[in-house]
This record gives sequence, C-alpha cells and structure tokens, in this order.
Amino acid sequence: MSKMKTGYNFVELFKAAPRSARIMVVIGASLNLLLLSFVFFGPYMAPYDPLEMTSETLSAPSSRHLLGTDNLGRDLLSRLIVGARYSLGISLVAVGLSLVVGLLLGSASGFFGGNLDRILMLIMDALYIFPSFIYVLIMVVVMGPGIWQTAFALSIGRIPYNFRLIRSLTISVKERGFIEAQKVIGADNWHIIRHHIAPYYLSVLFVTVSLGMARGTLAIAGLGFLGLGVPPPTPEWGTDLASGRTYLLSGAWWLVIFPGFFVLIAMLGFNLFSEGIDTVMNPTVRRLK
Amino acid sequence: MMRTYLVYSNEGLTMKLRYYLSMRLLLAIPTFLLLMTGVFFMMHVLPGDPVTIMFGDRYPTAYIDEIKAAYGLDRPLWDQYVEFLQDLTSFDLGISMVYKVPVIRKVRDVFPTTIEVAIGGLLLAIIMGVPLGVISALKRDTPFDHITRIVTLYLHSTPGFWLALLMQLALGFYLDIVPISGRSPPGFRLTEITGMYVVDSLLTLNFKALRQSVRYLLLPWLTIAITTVPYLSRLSRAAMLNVLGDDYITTARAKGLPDRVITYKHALRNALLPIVTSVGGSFTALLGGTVITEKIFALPGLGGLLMDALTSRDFTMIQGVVAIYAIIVVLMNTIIDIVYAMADPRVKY
Repeated sequence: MSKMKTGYNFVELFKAAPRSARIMVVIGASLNLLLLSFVFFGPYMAPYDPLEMTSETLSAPSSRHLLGTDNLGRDLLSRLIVGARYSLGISLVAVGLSLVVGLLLGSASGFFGGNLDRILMLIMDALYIFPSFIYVLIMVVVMGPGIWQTAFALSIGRIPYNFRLIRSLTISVKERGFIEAQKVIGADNWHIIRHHIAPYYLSVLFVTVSLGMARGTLAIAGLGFLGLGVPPPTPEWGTDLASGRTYLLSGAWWLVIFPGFFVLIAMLGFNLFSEGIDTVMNPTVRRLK
Repeated sequence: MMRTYLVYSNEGLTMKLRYYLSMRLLLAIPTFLLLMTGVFFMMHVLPGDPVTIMFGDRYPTAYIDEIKAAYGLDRPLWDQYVEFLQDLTSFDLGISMVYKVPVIRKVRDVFPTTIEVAIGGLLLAIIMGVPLGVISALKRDTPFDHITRIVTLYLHSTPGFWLALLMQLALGFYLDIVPISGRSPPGFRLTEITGMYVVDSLLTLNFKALRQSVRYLLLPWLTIAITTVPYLSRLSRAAMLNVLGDDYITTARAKGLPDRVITYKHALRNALLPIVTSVGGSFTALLGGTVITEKIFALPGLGGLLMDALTSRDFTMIQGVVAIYAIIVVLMNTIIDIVYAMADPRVKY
C-alpha cells in the first residue's frame, strides 16, 4: 500500500486555524503549563514555607510578601503556589479516573447497544440531571475528608458527562461510512483505529479533559469553601479563601481576592485551551460556524 | 404542507399533548427512584451509622441498640429499603434523627427559599443570556461579538462564590446599596402563602414587602445569573449561527423578505429549540451552586439544611433533602421537555 497521508497532523491543523483560536490555544496552554508546574514543583518554586507561621500576621501585599500574609502570618503566595497541588492535582486525578470509566462504559454501551445500553443510559441520565455538586458533597462527607476520597467523589460526578459523550461518539463512528470504506479498500483494524477512530476520539477528549479540569477545580474550591475540602493546615485555594473571608470586612481583601484569582486563572486557562483546541481540531465544525 | 397542521383539530392536539405529558411524567418516576436508591445505599452501606456516631461514646451499647431499633436500623438492609420506598410513595420522608420532627416539615420551611433563589436566578440569566447570544450571532465578528465572547469566557471562568463575596464587599459593604445577607429586614411583614416572599408579596399586593424582598434577593440572583449567563449566551450564539447558515434562511433572503422577518420569524424560532434544551442543563448546574450561594448570603434554604444534616449525620434528613432536590430537577426537566414539544411541531407525541 502506498503511503498515503491520512487523518491527522496537529501542526498543519494549527496553522490552518483562525488567528483567534491559535491565540486561545497558546494563552490557555501557557496558563495550564504554569499551573501544572506549580502542581509538580510547587514546593521548590514557593518563596517561603507555606506552613511556617510568623509574627507578621495579616500584613498587606508588600515586597517581602508579594500577596501578603494570612491570620497566622503565613505567606499567601507560597500557600497558593503549593496549594495548586491539591486544587489542581485532585482535579487531575478525578478527570483521569472519570475518563477511564467513561471510556469503558460509554464505548461498551454505544458499541453493543441493547439492554446494556438501556440500563446504563437510565442510570447515567438520572445522575446527569441531578446536580453533581450535591452528590459529590454527600459522598465527601460520608467517606470523610481526604485527597483520594475527594478525587473519587469528583470523578463520580464527572462520569455521566463523559459516558454520554463517548457513547454518542461511538455510535456516530459506528454509523459513519468511512470505517466501512476503509475496510473495503483493505485497511487492517489497527490502521483504522490509529488513523480514523483515534483522531476522532482524541479531538473530543482534549476538549473534555480541559473542560473537566475547569469544572473539577471549581468543585474542589467550592468544597473547600464549604469547609469540606482538604483539611487545614494543608494549603488549598478554596479552604484558604473561606478562612480569609472572616477577615474580609476588617480590610484583609488580599486573603479573598488572590485565592479566588488563582481559581479564575486556572479555569480561564482550561476554558481558553478547550475552546481554542476545539476550533483547531474540528475544521468541519469551524466551517459551519 | 400547510394541511398537516389543519388535520389535527384543536381538541385532538390537546388530547395528544395530555398523553405526551402523562407519558413524560411516568418516565420521570424511574429516574427519581434510581436517585433515591442511590442515596439510600450510600447512606446505609458506607461505614458509620448515625446512632453510633451521635451517641456512641456517651451511652452503653444496650441503649444504642434500643435507639437503632426505634429507627428500624437493626433490621436487614433489604427490609429497610422496601420500607423506605413504601414511605416515599406516600411522601413520608421519615423522622429527622436530630430534630425529632418529620423531615417533610423541616423541608417545607426551607424549600421555598431555594426555589425562589434558583428560579429567579435562572429567569434573570435567561433574560440576559439569550438576547446577548442572539445579538452576538447576528453581529458576528463585529467588535460587539468579540467583546461579548471575551467577557463571557472570562465570566465563565469566574468562581461564583468569589464573585458573590466581591459583590457583597463592593455593593453591600462599601457602596451600601443592597443588604449583605439574609432574607428580609427586621420587622418584615408578609402574609405567607407559598413561602416565596416575592411571589407572596405580589399575590397580596404588598409592594413594600416586594421591594424589600427583592432587595435582599438581588445579590443571590445576580450571583446565579452571572455564572449562568456565559453558558446560555454561548449556546444561544452557537444555535443562532447554526440556524443562520441553513438553506431556508438563504431562501428567505432570496425571496427578498425583510431582515427583521428573517431574524425573528425564521431564525430565532428555530434557534430557540436547542436553547430550551440547554436551560435544563443550566438549571441542574445552578441548583448545585445554590448550596454555596445560600451559605454566603445566609439564606435559610435546602442547601443549609443539607449541610447541617451532613455535619450531624442526620441520615433521614439527608435522604429527605436529596428527595426534594430530585423532585425539583425531575419536574424541571419534564417541564422543559414539554415546552420543547410544544415549541417544536416535529416532535411526535
């Protein structure tokens, strides 16, 4: 078989995409990379020890403490940098877990159909219309606080979404003519999966992972804000924001503004990236819009 | 083509709609049961039963077993489950393990607040978000469109609770134009009918109470609306653009129809269908958000009751609150399906 260029070349797609989408991908990806470097190298990047208490309590942002200090004199910037590990790290684990389960159940449901599909759909639909934050909340309380418990609860909250997506993708791949066409011209299964099915899934997975990270980060911060996140003194954006809230009206605005701002930056990064990459990787959709 | 609409007499159409409606409601029952089964087993299978947690270190085991027996917690799980379902059919949500009163009574007190906050916020979001998206689509690639998209993307990334705190600080504390938290001012007088202050004051034509309760609800509504608007406006924009690219729009233009007619009669009506569907999803999301919103603004709603029940491990109360949330979302989704069916003549009842 002559080597025909099929499917996918990210660089080419990227070059062909409109400028606004390229900007979105670049800004989103750089924000994500910055935050992910906090997740992995946070303790080495932070100027101070995030747990070290000093006598400089509630001091406003200054050259010594760029984002100020909290009520126990801990450096806020260091807490936020190290806190990324918990706020984003948990979300990362949850997204990964929900993706694996979603992929398995969704593709099985879409591929085999029948009663399996009907039962799974019924369960997933029920979970889908119920506010996921509420059952995540209940699960977190029932299982007790902790990093893995939170990640597990969050992943359950995300499964129905991934399931539905993968299921509809599988069905549409199954029904599209191009798979059959490839079989007719004699392509083997591996070729079909690599060049025709994988790219199809991949473009969608990029987007959902990114969106899932945004949702997850928000949910973790929300749990922390309700006092159900990672227990103190572990630095976590939502928990820090909630404890800073006590000092808001006495003028310590930085304790609320900056943790929230970190959540915003993280979500902005993920949202920009997912929106940009969606346009880059789905040229057909782009033409319609 | 026109004939198809005339075939149905008005009576026939209502009959069909009624059939569709009852079918939809019947279909909602398994969804509801599934959710309740989920929460029941979550409460009972996972470690730590409420009685031991509440009294374990203070009372002898014999006494604890007695309390367990009183709540039926000593019986096989299956029996408990069957009884739980039986009670549900008669809207009996059990007795609160902490307050010692029927769960339904507690829920009834706080449920109107959540509905008022959620529905009010949703309506505000629809009023702001849908026109924004539609106009954005009509003015595609103009500065208006670009700015709207950037602003909505930014708002889409803003955590709601943070925004709520900032608004509290700016509008409530520094500018002092709205109350910071709570539901009504001291000395608030209102005859309660539904428990929703805005609705009640409208029903009793009590305009002073209306002004007061709206002032108190303004920040919670804004919080919910601002976090929901990005979703709705982006979806409306996409739906409208999708429709505007369709052949029948080109046909309409070729016929020389005025732009206004094309926009409102041809495009908007068709774009409304996906928008109606998306309202369901955004309602589910914002209902989850009300837990935090209620806490920030100290509103006595379902979220606060759930949080209390969770911290005190009041299992029957948790089940009861989840049942109410489930009823709300199931009903809302059913309503949206029905609105969709009425808006789209192609839907087969």
